[in-house]
Amino acid sequence: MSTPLEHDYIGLAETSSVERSSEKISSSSSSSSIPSIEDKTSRTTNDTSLNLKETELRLGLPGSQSPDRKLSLFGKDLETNDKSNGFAGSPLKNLVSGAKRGFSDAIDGYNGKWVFSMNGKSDVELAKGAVLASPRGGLDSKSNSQQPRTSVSVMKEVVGVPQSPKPVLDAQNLVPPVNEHASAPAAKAQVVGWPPIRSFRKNSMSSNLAKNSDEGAGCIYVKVSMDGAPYLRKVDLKTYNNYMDFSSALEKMFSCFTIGQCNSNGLPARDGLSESGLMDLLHGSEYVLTYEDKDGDWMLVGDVPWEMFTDSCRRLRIMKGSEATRLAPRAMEKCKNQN
Amino acid sequence: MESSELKRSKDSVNSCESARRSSFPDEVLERVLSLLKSHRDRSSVSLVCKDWYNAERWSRTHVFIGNCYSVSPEIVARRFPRIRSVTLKGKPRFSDFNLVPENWGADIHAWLVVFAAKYPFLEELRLKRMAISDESLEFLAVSFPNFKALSLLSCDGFSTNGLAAIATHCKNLTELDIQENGIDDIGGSWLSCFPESFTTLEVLNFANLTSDINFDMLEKLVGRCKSMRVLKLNRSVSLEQLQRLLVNAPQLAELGTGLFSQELTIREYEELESALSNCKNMHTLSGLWDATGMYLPALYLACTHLTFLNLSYAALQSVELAKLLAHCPQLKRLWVLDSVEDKGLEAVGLNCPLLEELRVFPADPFDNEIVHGVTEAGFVAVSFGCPRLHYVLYFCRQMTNAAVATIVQNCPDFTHFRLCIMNPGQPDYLTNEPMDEAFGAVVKTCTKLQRLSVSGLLTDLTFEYIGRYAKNLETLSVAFAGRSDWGMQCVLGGCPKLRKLEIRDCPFGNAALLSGLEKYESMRSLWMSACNVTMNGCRLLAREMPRLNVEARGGMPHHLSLLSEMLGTRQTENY
Repeated sequence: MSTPLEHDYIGLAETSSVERSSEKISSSSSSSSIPSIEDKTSRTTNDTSLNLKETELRLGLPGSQSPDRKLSLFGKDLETNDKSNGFAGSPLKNLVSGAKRGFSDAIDGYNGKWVFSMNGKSDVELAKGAVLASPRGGLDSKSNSQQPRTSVSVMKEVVGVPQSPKPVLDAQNLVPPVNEHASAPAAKAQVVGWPPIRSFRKNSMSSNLAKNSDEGAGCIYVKVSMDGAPYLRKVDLKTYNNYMDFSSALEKMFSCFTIGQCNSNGLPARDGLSESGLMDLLHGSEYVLTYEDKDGDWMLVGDVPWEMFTDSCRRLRIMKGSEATRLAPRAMEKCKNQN
Repeated sequence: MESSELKRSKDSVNSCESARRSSFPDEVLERVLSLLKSHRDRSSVSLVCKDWYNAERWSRTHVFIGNCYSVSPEIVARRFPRIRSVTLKGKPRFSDFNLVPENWGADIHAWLVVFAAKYPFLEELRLKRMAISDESLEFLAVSFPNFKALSLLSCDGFSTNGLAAIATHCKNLTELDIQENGIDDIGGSWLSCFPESFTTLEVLNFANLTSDINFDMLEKLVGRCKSMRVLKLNRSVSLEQLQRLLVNAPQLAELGTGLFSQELTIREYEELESALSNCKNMHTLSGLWDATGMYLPALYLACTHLTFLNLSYAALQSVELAKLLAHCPQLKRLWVLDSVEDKGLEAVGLNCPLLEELRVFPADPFDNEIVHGVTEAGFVAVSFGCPRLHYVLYFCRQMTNAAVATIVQNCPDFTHFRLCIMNPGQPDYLTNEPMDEAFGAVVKTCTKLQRLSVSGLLTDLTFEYIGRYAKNLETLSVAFAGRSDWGMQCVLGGCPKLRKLEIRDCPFGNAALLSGLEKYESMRSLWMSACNVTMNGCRLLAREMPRLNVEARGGMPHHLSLLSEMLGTRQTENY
């Protein structure tokens, strides 16, 4: 048995398999979020102790929170929430989506392991591609062989080889502290590919949900989530007549956010709304109200007449200001220009 | 065949030849072997002696390739000259859950090119998790004049244009089955591409598609295909349209409805009910998108002989389900959403004594807000009422060791036990202990177990149990479980019949990976992602096992895992 060959997968024409095109992971849609993850990995595991407190479930009405708790939601840990929500903010169905809580999922090492790779180093390698060993790519060249192939195993590597990484989490860390698990149904980021449900079913069900969430005689109950809050609320859109009422009700529920205004007759004051909402964005410390419409797109609240909004709204999310830049890039630009 | 001749044949090649000369000619042997359908039996037959190997290969008409990278199309064509039907599976199963990057491979085209040359009389192609382009579909449509059946399950890379090519060119088509694919549904008039003279279609399943179809064309097509027995519509077909189709196709054995929600007049409702009940042969019912309690009663009369009911796209409440099941006494297979809750499952236990398979899908899998859905109580209730249960897929948010022990005591014949406790690493919610004993009970009691998916908080003990007791286990899925290499080593060291092992997010490393070297030769595939395996470990593996396809990827598109590997065993002898 000869020694295994290592080839540069991209360089060798003969081994470019018929099936595979570019191996580069960076070609996938999520590559844009990869660099940010590198930062998050190290920081998040360090932030374990900080975040523990925030996601501890406490009883009590919203608004009756202790002062430091309130601060942590809006002020102090913007950074923490920032990066975590940046990660979780993607509305793409097949990715980790809609994390309603901060990234304090690293409550125990076990949780952290799901979402971030086992060790910091590998994140650097994320952009690197595959290592392919053995005949998959070489099938066409072996077609004359009558014998079972005694070919050597060939490992093809793409763009560099990751170093042997040290696991950040060893076996011990993987045992979640049982008490914590039992008492705190705490913030979890969603894990890719979990629960294991096929995309077709996922997509079919989300349209199912749309139906179920607003059925009932004259009620349109939709969920309202707020980035960083440990639980959601449900509101009946039918009980409000316009954006103003709605906004103040939500404000009472969640304290301190802005959606901007709409004209009193319900017509969109497009410029006005977007501007004020986005003006707040620019300061970077406010929240913006967004909603998911029937098509599954995340929209800025306030653009359309109230009735149209209640018709098409499936759920709401109070998004961190910095997050909301993704929603209305053109409006942002216009805003900047006008400034 | 007399047993004495059989025995002689097994001894050696020479005696085999003399037996042949003295007993029966090749043609007889081939004729006998052509009656063998199971590909495993055929593999065994082919190993007896050279003559049997040859007789087998000349008589085989269907080839099943569980891992498209395990063998090349040229080798297949050389060994089996008379193939009419091919089944091919490609990507690892975890690709269904977006754990495999796009453009990974498993493209069918190279296979089609070889088949076009070697099997011009190919009739059937069934693909699972393969990549197939519109060009390939068109190539397929024009290259095989006798082509009859195309089935695509969980495939991707094609659009409705490809379907149009099939409809246009395949004059003898009997089956077009498009299921759960990543299809680029650009609508268009693919259905209209079936010629006016075309009447042979028996199976038509386009439930996967989301776009509207030309209903007039569909109605005409169904009307003239008198042999049609399977018809599965997509959401765009309304209840009223369904009724019109059924009036012309009462012979249907399997029906997938379209949207089961529409404002109907009383008369329209009655017509629908009548059309449904006229389908005396109907044994499978699916679709039922958005079905609500209001129109389900239209199904009651049609359910008398139903053996498979798929309600997994209808978020029913427990009462609605109970009422429906009262009319389904013959039910053997049931798929539901967990919106029916434990009460609904109690109704299953009460009404369906013949039930063999139950799948409970989560209606709201990503909702961490409220605990709802089904619990261990529902599963237990079903187990009491349905002793014949042998296949379960169960998504829940809480489970206990005691419940599982009770379940397998009631139903010891499980062949497929797939339990998904949706919160990763969650312990027994009553005792806070790991779920080891639950799966221990499963493997100890269910000696026929072939497939197992584990979940919840699990230590290495679970895998000790599996390795020691699961003698018939062929497929094992593991996620967020185990404590050390020892767990995986137990499985690889035990489980003599293990074929497919898929592992994600577990603390198994190189030592575990390398402990299975001998095992991998007899397995179809191994998947590991987000574990402790390193690139060096993979290199070592590849070096030690040159006949294996080893793929190690240094990163995953969703920034999760360190490495993902898939091992395909390349075998020339066993298909």
